Amino acid sequence: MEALSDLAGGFSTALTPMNLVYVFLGALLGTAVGVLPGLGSAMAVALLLPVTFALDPTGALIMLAGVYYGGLFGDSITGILLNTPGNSSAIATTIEGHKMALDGRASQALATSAIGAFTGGLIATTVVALGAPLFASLASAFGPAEFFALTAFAFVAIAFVVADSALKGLAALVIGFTIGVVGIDSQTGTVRYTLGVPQLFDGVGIVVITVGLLALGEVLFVASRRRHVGGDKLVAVRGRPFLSRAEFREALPAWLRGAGFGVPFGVIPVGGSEVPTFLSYGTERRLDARRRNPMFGRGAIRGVAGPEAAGNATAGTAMGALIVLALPTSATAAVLLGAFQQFGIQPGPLIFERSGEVAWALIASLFVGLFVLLVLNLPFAPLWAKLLVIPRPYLYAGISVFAGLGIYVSAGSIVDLWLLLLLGLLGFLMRRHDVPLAPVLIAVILGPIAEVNLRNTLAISQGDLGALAASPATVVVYALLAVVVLLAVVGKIRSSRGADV
Amino acid sequence: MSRPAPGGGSHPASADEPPTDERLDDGHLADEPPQALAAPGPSPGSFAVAAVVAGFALFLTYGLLTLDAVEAEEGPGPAFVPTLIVVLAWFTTVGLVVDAVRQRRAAARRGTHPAGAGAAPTGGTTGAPLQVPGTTEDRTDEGARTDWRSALLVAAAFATFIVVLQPLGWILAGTWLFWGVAQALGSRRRLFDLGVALAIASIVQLAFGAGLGLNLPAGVLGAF
Repeated sequence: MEALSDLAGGFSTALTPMNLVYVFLGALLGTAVGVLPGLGSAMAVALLLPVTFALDPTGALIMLAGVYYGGLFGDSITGILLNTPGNSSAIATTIEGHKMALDGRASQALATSAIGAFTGGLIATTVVALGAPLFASLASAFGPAEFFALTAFAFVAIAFVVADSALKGLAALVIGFTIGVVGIDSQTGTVRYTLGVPQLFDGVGIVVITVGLLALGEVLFVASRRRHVGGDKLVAVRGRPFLSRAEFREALPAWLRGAGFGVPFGVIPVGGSEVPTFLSYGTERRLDARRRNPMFGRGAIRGVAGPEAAGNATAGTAMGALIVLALPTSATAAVLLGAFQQFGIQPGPLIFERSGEVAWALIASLFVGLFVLLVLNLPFAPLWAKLLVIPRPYLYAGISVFAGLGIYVSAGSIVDLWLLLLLGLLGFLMRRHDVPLAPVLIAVILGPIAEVNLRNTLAISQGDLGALAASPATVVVYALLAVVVLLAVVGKIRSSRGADV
Repeated sequence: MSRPAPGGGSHPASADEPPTDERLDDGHLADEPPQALAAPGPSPGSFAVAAVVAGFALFLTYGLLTLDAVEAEEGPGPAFVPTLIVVLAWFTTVGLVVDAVRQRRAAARRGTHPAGAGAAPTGGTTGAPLQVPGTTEDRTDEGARTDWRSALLVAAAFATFIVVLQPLGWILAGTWLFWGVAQALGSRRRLFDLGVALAIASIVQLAFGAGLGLNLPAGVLGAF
């Protein structure tokens, strides 16, 4: 198999001492960010992006990928011990995990979640490593119409599924499209929406957008509700995290089923791992109810194992979709796509030909990262929880300083800093009104790509709109899109009926 | 010191700025009389999101009308996609306004408006947010108030940082930013915080300035 030899080549790059340091640093930072409530991996990647410009692209991407995975490992630690999920991806794990902790089984819950995250990530990354070249060769026949279909799929799916109302999702898309359209039109050189400010001719920097919306916006939002932040009560952990043979056997099917939910969802742009983690949680719960001695509600190990594996499996295949199709399926993936572009690497079907070495090193480092994360998380989970003693004012002050630093050093521009503040206020407002941020990032990054592909399609077809859905691949994408929207609408009607009763 | 954003049109996104500013100021004012049970998030039927999207729609419309398009040799020109976005933006704005009005009616039917505290949405699309206590469908926590003062202080601290960064240099500006945000977030050990802030700013200068070779402004300290 050619993929295996390429992968071996990737490993030889990823296992150089310097790249190992990057993987380790990324895993460390990612776990820390995951543990701290309110900090997501998207924000961490955004904050790190400017300072990684000083590194070589491979090392930087490896580190960012470590952050991406690490965030999903760490987020359940806080959820289990504190009942405060570090991220939305850990909400499902928290439900049973915290009950386990209260029941005196905190160390088992931590071990189940760490091994679950590892299993999910490992299965998904294997799927990516073996399937990516195949997918890439399938997708290499894609023309502008197919790529436009994919981006349209991403826009509609994310707007309909992520927001609690489709209107808020649309609002987020509009904001993203608007920011994305600022700058010189790449095809004709027309200056658009710059209001005559020369610093905007190249558009609004992706780093400014992500740091503003995700980091500064979060600081402002936290400030606006600081009086509500209550005291934290950690559940004490007795002993090292471990699992007995019986517990391992109990958790194993849930890990595998969870990974089964996560793998396909990584490719569907519904904003990350919330949907698959809850699907997994629901499935485990239904299966559990049929057993003689139902454990759900009293700290079920499967309620931790399933969602955790699902979450990391989603992250794994999302990485694949990002590399092969240039299709970001969550906010973090969108920021990572921005990172690729900043380094001059264009993900897509041709990535293995154009930047094969970087791509394979990245995939190999995902494997390495998983092992590093398992080692960092399994024995040391209680130590990580100690991060929570950092006073919140210092934490957010540090984030502000890092945001200002990153934006200033990336271009040395004061205009960028003002833009950052404006975007921070916008992000604050959106958080306050429950407008999702993921569609903004996806629209900013995919918007210009969608525009180019749409215009190219219509240029080739000489204005015939039918060309947009002429090939079988586009028909499949639009059909899938219809199914996703239908499911989302049905789900919403059902839940609103449930709320009325 | 209550304006978080820089004034004037020197910065580009000013089209969406007025709603943002007004919103913050109004919210601040509405916040003055403390209400024990005030809703933490926005009240149901707030026009804020609609106002922001309307701001973006206006910006898009203005940009489209003033667009000096170089026509493409073939296929749609540079105004094609912006036109689609403008339509989507106005469609979304109308949808959000209709939605907000419907939510207000529903809230009024439930009788949750405090007497006189704003049953009349007078301010049009940029109207002041209503402080409706109790029943909110918001997923954010219940029973807490929005602390506009802290949020504005953070924004002000950041704005000051931007202004003084180049004249005073990274270490002083960074110290100010860390200290200011920590104070705004309720840290009360002022002198100790100042020490921490100075330490963080200096470490950053060393690690990123000297270590990674990133270009940080030296400012007044550079004279020594």
